[in-house]
Amino acid sequence: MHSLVEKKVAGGARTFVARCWAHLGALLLLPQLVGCGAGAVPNSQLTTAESAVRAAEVGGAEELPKGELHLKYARDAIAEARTLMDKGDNKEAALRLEKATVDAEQALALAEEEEARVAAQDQLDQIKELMEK
Amino acid sequence: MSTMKLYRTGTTALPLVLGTLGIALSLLGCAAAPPTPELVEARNAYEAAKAGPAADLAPARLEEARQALVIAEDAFVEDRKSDRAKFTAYVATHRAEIATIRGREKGYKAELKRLKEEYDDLEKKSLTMTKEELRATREGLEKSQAELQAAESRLASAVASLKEMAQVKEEARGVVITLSGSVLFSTGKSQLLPIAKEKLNDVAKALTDQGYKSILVEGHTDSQGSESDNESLSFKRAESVMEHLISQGIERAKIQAKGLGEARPVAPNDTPEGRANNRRVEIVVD
Repeated sequence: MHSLVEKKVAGGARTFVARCWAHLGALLLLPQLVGCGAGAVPNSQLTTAESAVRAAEVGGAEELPKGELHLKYARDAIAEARTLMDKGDNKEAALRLEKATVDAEQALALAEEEEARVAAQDQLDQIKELMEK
Repeated sequence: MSTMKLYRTGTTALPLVLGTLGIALSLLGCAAAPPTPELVEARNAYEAAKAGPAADLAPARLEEARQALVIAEDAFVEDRKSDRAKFTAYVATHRAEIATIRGREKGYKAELKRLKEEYDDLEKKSLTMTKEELRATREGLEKSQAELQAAESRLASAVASLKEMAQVKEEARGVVITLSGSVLFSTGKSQLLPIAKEKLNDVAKALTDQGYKSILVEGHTDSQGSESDNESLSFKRAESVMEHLISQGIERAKIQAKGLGEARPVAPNDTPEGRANNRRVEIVVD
């Protein structure tokens, strides 16, 4: 009777350890398995990327060679993302949309930097002109 | 009965197998691996952004760049060959570039503000000034502009020179400036080469401009020759670099030299390239 209780306790401990391993294993496997999944449809990322492209267009990014290049990268990445979304590969699409957003933001940043540079140069020219009068 | 036993054994073993598999897969991702070119580019872009105008003028953008780099580093650890690792490194690189651009933009805007004030002042003065006074002011302004350009050019050349001769990286112990032994010394000697003195002047200037709490100069050698000779040579070399930096204005109380000989190689000593990399002086700035 005594040894039966001991066996039950030992068996219970083994089951407990096994459950712990199972939970730990499941927790650690989860990211690996999720990594192979299709992921959620990245609609909000698509909107963000398209808005960033529009902002860069309005900000005059196309007037600069580098800005135009980054805008092209952004548009290409959005087109690629759309194709991937049609195939249901949403995770890969989301990566392209992140890239598109950062490219469009860089195009806008370049345009705004140029605008600030030109404004400073114009002001300097005005000072020179005033002094030559 | 035997089926039941088999089933029970299976239910106990399955979680064990799953658990072990899960841990093994996770550990596999943590194994040390050289960084991908994309990640190296992202790290370099962030370091460049941090050293540029973004640090003062666009700190929020710099923080975004830092966070993007953290994500890229995580993706690399998770699976260095994945598309996620590649794309997050790309995003991190461009976030850092955006920070740099935004920093420059803020610089232009500050300059514009200053010039507008100067223009308003001049306009007021022009009403009362004689032509002679205006000429003197114009000459003064031209002189200031020339001086500013000369100073900018000197600074750019110092930074370019530093990058040419030294590798700069940030570690837990501080900013580490690594100088190749071949640039500083002749083989087996501890006397600084003339060109090395010039280069160290740039380092001293950069350190003074940057500010520092303490500086440690470490000498390192390759494994050729006896250990005690290497230790002695590495100390003498570190001391030479330290004394030269002091002669260029670095405070003696805040700098010390250490000779580590061949004890801390950064590359294998069995190739000429590896040995050249190991012969170095590191300046650790806190």
